[in-house]
Amino acid sequence: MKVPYIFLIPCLVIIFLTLVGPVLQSFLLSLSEFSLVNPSQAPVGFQNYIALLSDSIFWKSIQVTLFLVFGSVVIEFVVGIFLALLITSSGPRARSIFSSIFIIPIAIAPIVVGILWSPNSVFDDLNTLLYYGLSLGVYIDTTRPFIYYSLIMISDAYIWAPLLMLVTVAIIRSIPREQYEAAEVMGASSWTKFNKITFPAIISSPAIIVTLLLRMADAFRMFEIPYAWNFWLGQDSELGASVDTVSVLMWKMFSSTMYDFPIAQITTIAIVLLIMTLSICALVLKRSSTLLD
Amino acid sequence: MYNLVINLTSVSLKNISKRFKNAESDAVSNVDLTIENKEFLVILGPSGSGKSSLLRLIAGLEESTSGEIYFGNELMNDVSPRERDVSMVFQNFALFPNMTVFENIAFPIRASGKDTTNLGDEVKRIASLLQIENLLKRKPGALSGGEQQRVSLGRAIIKKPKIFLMDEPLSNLDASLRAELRAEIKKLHKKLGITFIYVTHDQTEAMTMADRIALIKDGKILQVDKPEKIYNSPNQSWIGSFLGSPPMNLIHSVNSGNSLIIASQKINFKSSVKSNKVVVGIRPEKIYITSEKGRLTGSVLSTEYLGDSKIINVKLDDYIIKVKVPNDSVFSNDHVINLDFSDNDIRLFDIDGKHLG
Amino acid sequence: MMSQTNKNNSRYIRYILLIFASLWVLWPISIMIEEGFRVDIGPAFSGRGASFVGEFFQGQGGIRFTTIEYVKALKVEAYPRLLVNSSIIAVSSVVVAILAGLPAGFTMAMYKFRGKTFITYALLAMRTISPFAVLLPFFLIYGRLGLFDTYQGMAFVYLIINLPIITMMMRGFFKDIPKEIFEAAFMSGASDSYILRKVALPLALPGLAAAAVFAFVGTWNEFFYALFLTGTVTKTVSRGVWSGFSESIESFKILEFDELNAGGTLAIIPAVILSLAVQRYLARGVTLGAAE
Repeated sequence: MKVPYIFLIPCLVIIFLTLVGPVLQSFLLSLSEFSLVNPSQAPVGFQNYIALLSDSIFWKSIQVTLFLVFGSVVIEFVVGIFLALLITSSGPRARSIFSSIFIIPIAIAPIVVGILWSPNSVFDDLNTLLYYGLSLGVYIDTTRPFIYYSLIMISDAYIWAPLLMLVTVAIIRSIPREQYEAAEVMGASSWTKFNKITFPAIISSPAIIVTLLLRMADAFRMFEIPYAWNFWLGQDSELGASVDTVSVLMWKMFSSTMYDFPIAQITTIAIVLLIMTLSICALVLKRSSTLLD
Repeated sequence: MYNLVINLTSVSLKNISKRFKNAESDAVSNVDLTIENKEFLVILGPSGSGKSSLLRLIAGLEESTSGEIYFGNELMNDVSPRERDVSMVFQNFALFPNMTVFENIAFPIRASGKDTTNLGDEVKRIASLLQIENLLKRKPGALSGGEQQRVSLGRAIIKKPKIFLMDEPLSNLDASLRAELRAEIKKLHKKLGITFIYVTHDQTEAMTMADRIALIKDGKILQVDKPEKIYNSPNQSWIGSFLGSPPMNLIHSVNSGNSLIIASQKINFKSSVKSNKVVVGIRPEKIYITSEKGRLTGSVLSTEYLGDSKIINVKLDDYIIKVKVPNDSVFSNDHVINLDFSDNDIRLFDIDGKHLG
Repeated sequence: MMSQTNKNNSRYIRYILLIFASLWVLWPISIMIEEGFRVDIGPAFSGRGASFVGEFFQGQGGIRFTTIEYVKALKVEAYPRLLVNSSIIAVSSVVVAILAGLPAGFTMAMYKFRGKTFITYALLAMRTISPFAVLLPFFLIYGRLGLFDTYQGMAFVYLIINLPIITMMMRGFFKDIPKEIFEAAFMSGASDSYILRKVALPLALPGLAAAAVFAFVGTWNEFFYALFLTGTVTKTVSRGVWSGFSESIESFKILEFDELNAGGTLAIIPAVILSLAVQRYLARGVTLGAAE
């Protein structure tokens, strides 16, 4: 059958103009010494990459990012399954009402979530409750790194756990009812049913694996929430602050007046990040049962 | 001199093979098949036999891995399905749900940019031929399965194709509708006078409609013959067991040229077949029960009532053979009976199932 | 009898958990909405309720309820302009993405061809790429071409978000249509563009609406490119929500918190309503159809 290649041309043109071209140029920039004080874009080799590998601030931000990626995706997965179980075991009315409520955060701009979950919004009320309301005399100190990281993970999970819920609900609903009926006849408890039927079905589904991979790719570039929180903690100008994800680090290098606009270095970090993203995409393509048929 | 008489409507497949990506074996394997002008050929086979793939190769919806497809003497391998001058009817009707019946039937004319001046009359003529003229304004979703398939026949006819392809067109319909549409498709074939290639897994459809049946299994054509011939003289024991209900009895036996030993009983049977070990095939309805001394003796194991007939399961040593008898015959279990048959109704196969002699 | 009680108990527990989870979702949003209705009386009492900064507990401020921040947002300040900017940019970008993505999605759903893996991979990459990997070239080129802070420049850069969504979602919707319908159309002699216009598109129209809405919301919510590539002319709502409605970027932090919340509330209303309308397709949209 003759393929109408002409139908692909506009799409390909956009792919080249917005993705391939800029990425190639980023790569070339990463090989140069281009910055505000050095306008030459000529490639000088991989020295930026070598320098990056021994840069403690970069490694710190990679650590922070990996920690946040891992934490958020795990929380999202667990909460997503939990919500999906609640939803699928409810009646049709409750199901539609509550799943509509649960997916609201997906629609909220991440920057707004950064504001919503900011220390002086949610945690003020919670702290008032803990400190005065319940007279416990304790409060959540949002400046402590561990609490801070956890709260960022929770904010990210706030947006994306509902996505995992949606995917999990679809998987649970595709499990044949007979499996549960057979288990009930044999006297299986709810836990056994979850453990032997539901959970294996969820984790063996390509859909959940692909979703988790895509969430990981998204979390790698996590920007808005840590960016917003940077300001509240007054760390917005400090390189290597405890909350700098790789994206926030790049932003600081980009916007701070202290660093001569070091384009070459920023693109170097961006290319390293891109390699991670592209590897995840390759995995997604490999694991998805639907994308390439 | 150029040969100006091009017979466009015959179809010949020369050594056609198709292997799907990542498949372990060929879906269609080295098929050689010629379908004559104006013939009604049924491609019959069990599910997964490659019969639909073969039809889709002829339609141009799949590309062959190797081999050639000719319409007349024109090579069609690289011709797109749009230009092959064939129509196809699908099992799931494949009507356009957003269009009315009229628009569905008119689609091929409008889509190919042909002259539409008499389109309305043409659609009405075809609709009345298929008895759906009162449905023209409806959408397919509001029609029964039978009506939908009539619409899809109409959409295929309006193109005036040289070849008409049908992929299990009746399989989604009720039994009663099937019989009705079977007769109508047969009538349509006579009326249109074009080549029909019809794929089915249903042997009744094949037997009732076909001029010739091509039997396909595991992507290979096993036999192409008239229905009677393929039923009575299968060239493979598998065909004997695939066709007929109940299927052909197949019994391992020893052949001496003058006699056969069937289940420890020796019968006289002259044949030119040399092999010692053979498989004897005989249709259940060709065996009769006699009160005189028959050639075989066995005991009645059980009886199945089929309505118009009865099947007697007869135990012969280690074998159970099926005998079809009139529905009023009465045989009690364990009753010893004599069986007889004519030598002409015996078909000998080698132990791999190939016909001998 | 016993098992009936158990069943009822587990139902109550389930509903309690569902309501708890809903509160979890709605609580921060309600705080934001409510914050928008408040205004601090004076600088001596700045901060609302109790507030903790580091180890220091800060006293209460005097607070009163008012709609002034919402009114201010909608009438006095440049907020409506932000809504208009976001709409213009998102709509035009989505339209371009449809023009390019619809035929591409159709071809990818219908045909096998060399380069299909490349296109799929590229679209996935556009979906997941860190904006920094393309930002600096855009920054330099936009500076040179004068596209910085222009509608067309923003609409173009948002194709990175919209093209994968439209192409891959439409590919999925076309795939959902039984393939025999298209084969019947091919066999009828219809050209690809005829099939796309008369068969595929009418059948996938609800899908196209969902994909367009989904892409629109994605663009509406986008913050990063807006932060770097918009200025006083094309500033979008998600950036405006952050940096305040006056043009001073640094002024929001303590002083304009109520305003920030009022603006945030107004910004999420259209996004939430639109997303709820297409909630059936949310998972397909976010994962580009990979999670099915």
